[in-house]
Formats: sequence, C-alpha cells, structure tokens
Amino acid sequence: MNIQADVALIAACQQGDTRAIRETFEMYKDRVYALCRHMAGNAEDAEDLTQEVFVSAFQHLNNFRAESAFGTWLYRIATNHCLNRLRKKRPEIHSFDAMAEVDIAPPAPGPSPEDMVVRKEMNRRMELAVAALPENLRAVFVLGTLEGMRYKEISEICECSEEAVKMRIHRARKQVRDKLKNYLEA
Amino acid sequence: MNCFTCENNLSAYVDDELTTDVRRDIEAHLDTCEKCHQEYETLLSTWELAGDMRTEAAPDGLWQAVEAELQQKGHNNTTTEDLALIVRGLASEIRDLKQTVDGLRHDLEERDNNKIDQSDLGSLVLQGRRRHAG
Ligand SMILES: [Zn+2]
Repeated sequence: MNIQADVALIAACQQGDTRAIRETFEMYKDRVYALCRHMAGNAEDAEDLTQEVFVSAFQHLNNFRAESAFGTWLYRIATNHCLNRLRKKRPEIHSFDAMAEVDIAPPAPGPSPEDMVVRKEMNRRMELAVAALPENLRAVFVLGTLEGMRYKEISEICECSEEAVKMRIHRARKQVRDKLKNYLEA
Repeated sequence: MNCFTCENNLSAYVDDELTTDVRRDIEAHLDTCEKCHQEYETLLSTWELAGDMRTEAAPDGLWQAVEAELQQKGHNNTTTEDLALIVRGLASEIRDLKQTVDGLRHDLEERDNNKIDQSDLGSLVLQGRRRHAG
C-alpha cells in the first residue's frame, strides 16, 4: 500500500470532521472497492459491501489505535465484513463446474479481437475460481495475488503469522491454478 | 534442497517473499528439476493471469450513500461488533491451524509413500485416493 492517511487526518476524522472523513473516503475508496469486488465476485454486491465497510469504519473510528497503519485497520474491517457477508449469503453465485461446460477456444497467437474475448473470458473464469475458494484462502488470495500486498501486511490484516499467509497463498494459488489448468496449458 | 521444500516455497518465490539464501537454493533446484520447474511455470502463469484482472474504480455516488447513512446512524462507540470481529478472527485461526496440520500430515504421508518401493507405489496411491475420497 503506497497511500496511507496520516495521523493528523485520522485524528480529525475521529473528531467528526466531515471534510477529513470525505478526504479519507476518497483516498481509500478504490482499494476498498477492488477488495470487495474480488471478494464478492460481482459488482452489485461489491458496491453494497464498500458502502457498508466505510459506514462501519467511520462509525468505529474511535476504536482505531495508531498501532497499525490506518489502511491495515480499514482493510481488516473490509476483509472481515466481506467474509461475514459471504458466509450469510452462501448460495453459490455461479457454479464453476457449470461454467466449465461452456467451451472457449485457446488463445490464438498474436493480438486479435479474439484475444480480447479470450482474455475477458479468462478473467471471468479466474473470478469464478476465486469465488470457489474456501473463505480463509480467498481472503489471502485476494489480498496477496489480486491486490498485490506483501505477506507482512496481509498477516496484519488477517491477524495470523506470515508463515500462515505464505502457506495459505500457496494453497489458494494451487487451487485456482487447478481450476484453470486446461487454459493454462492451451 | 529437495522437491518437498522447493514446492512449498514456490508461491513465495513468485511473490519475491524469500530471503536471498532460500531464493538461490530454489533457483538452483529449479535449474535441475523438471518437475518443480513445471510446477513453478503454472504457478507463475496463474499469478500473471490474476494480475491481468482489472478492477474498475469505485462507482460514483458511493460517498453520497455513505454520508447519508452516517448522518442517519450517527457515530457510535459500541464494541459488540468489535468483539464479534475478534471471535470470528479466532475461529478462523483455529480453522487455519487445523488445515495446516492436515496439510502437514498429508505431506508427511506423501513423503513416506515416496520412500517405499516402486512396486508398492500403485497400490499405495490407490489407498491414498480412497482415503482422500472418504
Ligand atoms: Zn524438484
């Protein structure tokens, strides 16, 4: 994470300064949305989740202690909130296996309009593969592989050891890889 | 370095999360081991594909929704939700530990199986499959 709200800005938020709250929102909204988008696997839920995460975070600002970076605290709220909501929602968004029946051509050499279609399809499949991951693996996969965070920060967000992050990411990536195997080999 | 250790470190290698020493050991092993090298290639491809997943910026109008809800609810300092977060965190730690132990047990079993004669291998694999299926 390159962006981090400074202590003064967060202190102003804690005092209820609306302008500071807005500034903090603008600073983090894209990252939080991206996180929710990848966790939820679809845009509609991601929008609701992002809104809920910010409302919850701003309501509980007094619980933020400057022991961790504000971003880490916020992403922890976002991750837990998404996991919690996904647990409640359970009915699988789309079944990966059902999708697997739809055949797509392997990528053609050189750039072409088909490449764009294939790439889009790959992304969709990746999304489904991520959605099929068990929750604790999905969180680290999203944070580490899709959001590109370092293991240390993920361990702080997920409140586990870096070694646990490393193992979970490896496990998650192998599961996603196995789901996409036919296309990786093509 | 053996295949077992190499394989376990491949994602961290892709993510550049290893110490220089371990990274060098991995690279030396990858140079000589076709099996691990293939495993590395597919994990790298997965990582590259994931990096290609574009996420659009947050949609417009979100701030208005957040602001309206904040005004309606006002600030609150209740910690019930925070307690719930902590409990959930602990529960996921326990799940994680269990999974780690299961994984280690599985890996150890695999290692034991590898030590046994090739002639016994077929039946062991079958047994293992049955065990995992069950
Ligand atoms: Zn090897």
